[in-house]
Amino acid sequence: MTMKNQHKLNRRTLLKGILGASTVTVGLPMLDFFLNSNGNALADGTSFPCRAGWWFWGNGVIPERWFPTTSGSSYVLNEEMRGRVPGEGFEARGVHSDITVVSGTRVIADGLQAHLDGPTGMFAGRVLGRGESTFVTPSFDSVLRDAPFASQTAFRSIDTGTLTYGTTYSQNGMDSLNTPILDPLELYAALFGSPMTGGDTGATEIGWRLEQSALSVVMEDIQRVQRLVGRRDSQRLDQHFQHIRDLERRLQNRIDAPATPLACPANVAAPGDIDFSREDYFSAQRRHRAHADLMALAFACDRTRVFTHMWSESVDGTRYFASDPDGHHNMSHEGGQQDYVHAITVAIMDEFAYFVQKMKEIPEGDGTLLDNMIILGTTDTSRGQFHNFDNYPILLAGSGGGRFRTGVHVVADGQNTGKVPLTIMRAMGLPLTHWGSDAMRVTDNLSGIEV
Amino acid sequence: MRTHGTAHTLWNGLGFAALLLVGCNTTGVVGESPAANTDELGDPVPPFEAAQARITRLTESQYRNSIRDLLGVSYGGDTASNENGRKSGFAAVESSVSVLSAQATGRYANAASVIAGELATRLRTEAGVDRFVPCEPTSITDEACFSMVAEQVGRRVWRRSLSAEEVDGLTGLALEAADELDDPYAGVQYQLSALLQAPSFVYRVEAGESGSNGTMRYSNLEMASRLSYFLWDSAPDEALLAAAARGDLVNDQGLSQEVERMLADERAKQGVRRFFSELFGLDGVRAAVLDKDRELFPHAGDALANSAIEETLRVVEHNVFEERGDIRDIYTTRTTFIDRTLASVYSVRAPSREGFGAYTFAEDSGRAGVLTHASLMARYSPQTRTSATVRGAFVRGRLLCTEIPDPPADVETSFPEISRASTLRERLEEHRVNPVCANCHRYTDPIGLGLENFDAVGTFRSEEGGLPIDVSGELDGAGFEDSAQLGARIHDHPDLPGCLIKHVYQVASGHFVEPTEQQQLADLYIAFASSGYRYLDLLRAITMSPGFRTLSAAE
Repeated sequence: MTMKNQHKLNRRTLLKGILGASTVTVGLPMLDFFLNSNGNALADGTSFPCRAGWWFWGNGVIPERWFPTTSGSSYVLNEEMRGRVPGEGFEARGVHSDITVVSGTRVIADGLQAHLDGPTGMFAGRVLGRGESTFVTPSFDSVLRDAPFASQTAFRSIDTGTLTYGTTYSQNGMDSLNTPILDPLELYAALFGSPMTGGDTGATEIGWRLEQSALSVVMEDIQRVQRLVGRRDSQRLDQHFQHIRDLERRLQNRIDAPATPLACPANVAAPGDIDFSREDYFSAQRRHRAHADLMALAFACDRTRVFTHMWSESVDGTRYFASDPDGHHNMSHEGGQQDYVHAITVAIMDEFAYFVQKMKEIPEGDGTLLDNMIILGTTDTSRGQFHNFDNYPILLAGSGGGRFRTGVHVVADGQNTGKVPLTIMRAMGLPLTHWGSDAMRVTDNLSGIEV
Repeated sequence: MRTHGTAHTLWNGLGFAALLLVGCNTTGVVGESPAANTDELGDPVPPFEAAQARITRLTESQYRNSIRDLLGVSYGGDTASNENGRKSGFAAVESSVSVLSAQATGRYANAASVIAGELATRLRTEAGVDRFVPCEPTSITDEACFSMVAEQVGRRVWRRSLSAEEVDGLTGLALEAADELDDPYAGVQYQLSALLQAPSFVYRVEAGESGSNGTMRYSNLEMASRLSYFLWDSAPDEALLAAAARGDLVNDQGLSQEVERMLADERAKQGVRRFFSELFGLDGVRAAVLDKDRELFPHAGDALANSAIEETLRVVEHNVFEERGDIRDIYTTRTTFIDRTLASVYSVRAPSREGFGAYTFAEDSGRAGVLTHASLMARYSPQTRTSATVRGAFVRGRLLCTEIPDPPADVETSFPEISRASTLRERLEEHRVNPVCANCHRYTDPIGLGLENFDAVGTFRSEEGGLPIDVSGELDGAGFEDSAQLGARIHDHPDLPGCLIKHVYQVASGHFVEPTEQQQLADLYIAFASSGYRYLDLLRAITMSPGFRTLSAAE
């Protein structure tokens, strides 16, 4: 036997050893999206997969100009959702009836600190303890990406960001961030190029197989190192190992070239070069829209079912418009500059509406992709000027496969914000008894948002 | 002893007391002298205990520098090392705790295949023997060469000898790739791709070994990596690996000899530059300058950003390697290095027609020390104006290690409107008189107001809106009249050396400092002070210290 054959044998043996019984699932193709004869469900009788995720912006809103002025269905849009110019805003983008607004909920804890307690309470159901600067418990999207359904697609999750330098409120626990992709070109390469992020888009099946062989060397090395380290580092390496397995699985998925859903185009054009050298609303808008366009295709092609998007981080200081006297966060604290802040919030809300609109443009069965999604749009505080966490701004877009009410304003005075992620996770099929801890612990769904 | 005069805030500067602060309403910032074996609150200092073994991921710059030094490839793409949860500000410290993300794992894979592809292309096209790769495969079955690459390049990239099994695995991978693609160079390419994304390259794996009298120490090879990434911000060279092989790095004399060689090497400048870039946040200068309002600040642009960073690093380099002086002098020195771009921002004559030249600021210019450089004045200002709070928070947090918490929730943060022209000092009056604000802002604003003569790109001004700017103030009881005197107060601030030691020690040792290391930091403080605060002596003292050389078994 030549050495080469020996190695091939070794590799197969090794993979079996490393992956254990789950080896067989590694090569499974994506779910078959062939429709039944009515075209409204999959041929195997199951419904379309549901996708969930969040879209976050920093620095809050101006509540009296943001929350709808009427409650219930066909609520009257307030100023901040009406767009800057004609053609923008919830109505003009045709998504008013797809978006539910929740008012009155709050993040609850003793001695709340400004800024980070909002997103940690909202997403992870636990505010930061003193001296903590990373999440301790996972954000709800992290729980979703660990669910069995998430490993049926090429990516457990896609995390992107626009006005952030790598910070995200998608965290798996201590010191474990799901770092967002900031460059739409990198997102494109990850989704539609080589399975190696940003890799050679002309790669061939032989190349992918060889990359798999290289990864098996890496996995062996992880296991060797793991024998040398303590418990905490071993956990860090477990996560690294998991990511390598996902990469392996992604390569296999590419090799298998499973049938793609109907709405998935055969060719996706790469976004143009994006200039990162200066930051304002318009540069951010170009990046965000390129991300949104690609994300819609990622769902259409069933590359992932979980996502997060950081439009901007808490305390973001971007100067949106040349006429702004200062950056977003600084102005949010100035009573005399609230009109500028308002204009910024209007612009951000239109970006959210754009994101939702792109999902709605993808046909799926009788309806659209958006019908099989639930998107949580939220921020880090209610009124940026005060850093307060009552009357938390919450948007819910899409009906999550008919599970959520759309186009209503739900008044939920005094309710815990944590009920929203709990409702979403349960809608995604997770049998949770409760969510969050201490004052943020909840056991019930938020009434009024579900059908 | 010389240090006793400053010992009263030693503990605070070392960063422990700061962790105990609850809010900012403490009087502990400047306190009484503790006894030698108690901390500043009077609690006993625990005896030194080495920190636990851990793995630390290479930082982005360490990754790039290693690739350049080990393979002769300059990689400009993204890697994975900027994930930042805790915001210590130092990548080398954060990478000791952060978990690699899915995206970062993909980036490592991608970087590895790009770098390996570039190297394979170089081997294919260049004549003669490559400096970094010991042989060129002559056929797709050239097992001897593939095995040699695995063994020799592997040893450098993984910073340790490979086992026979590992060499076999990599050789098999090369044979498979060469055969599948019918290209001998593809064999080397896939070997390298595997080597470069393996944890043995991307993490510094430190498990330790038994040392004398029952303690655990870092092994020779682990010491080689610790030294090179600390002092050079890059991988060990052949000489260092040879010293490790001889067993030199676990005894005082051998270690000291290697440290001297390394500090004399050009790469030591790279290490010093990286540390001060992170200490001052210079990586953020570019974005800060480019985002300035261009009508208010016509100088803002690429040229200013690049020159401003270079000026500050040259002043540090000059202090450390040429003057070999008191490092605290970088906060007071009127000596600098500027080019035409900076000369125009500073309204002075450029010292040389091209590039940088030495320049001495006039005594009455108000400009002295790095805090008055365009780099830091721009970095810690928003787009349209200056911010005394942001500048002050930088000095407090980064240079003096005082922790300033986030403001409480639910506070009205608007300032009372002033309907006439006003100075920043007048507009910030609320921070001073409202006790809720003053709790924290009394630590930050006075420092920033002392720098108000420099606008958001560092141009000097004596008036704001037609009103004279008052830059006098007080730093923890020591008064100052202008920014030059403020620099002198920072130079003499008792927390400054301890804070610097804490940062350097954390970067060197690759972990957040533990309470059981207080005694180690205190010992370093004494050594640093006795040396006249010479930075290279601090590096020497750290490399020779038990905190750098010994460890406890990981749980």
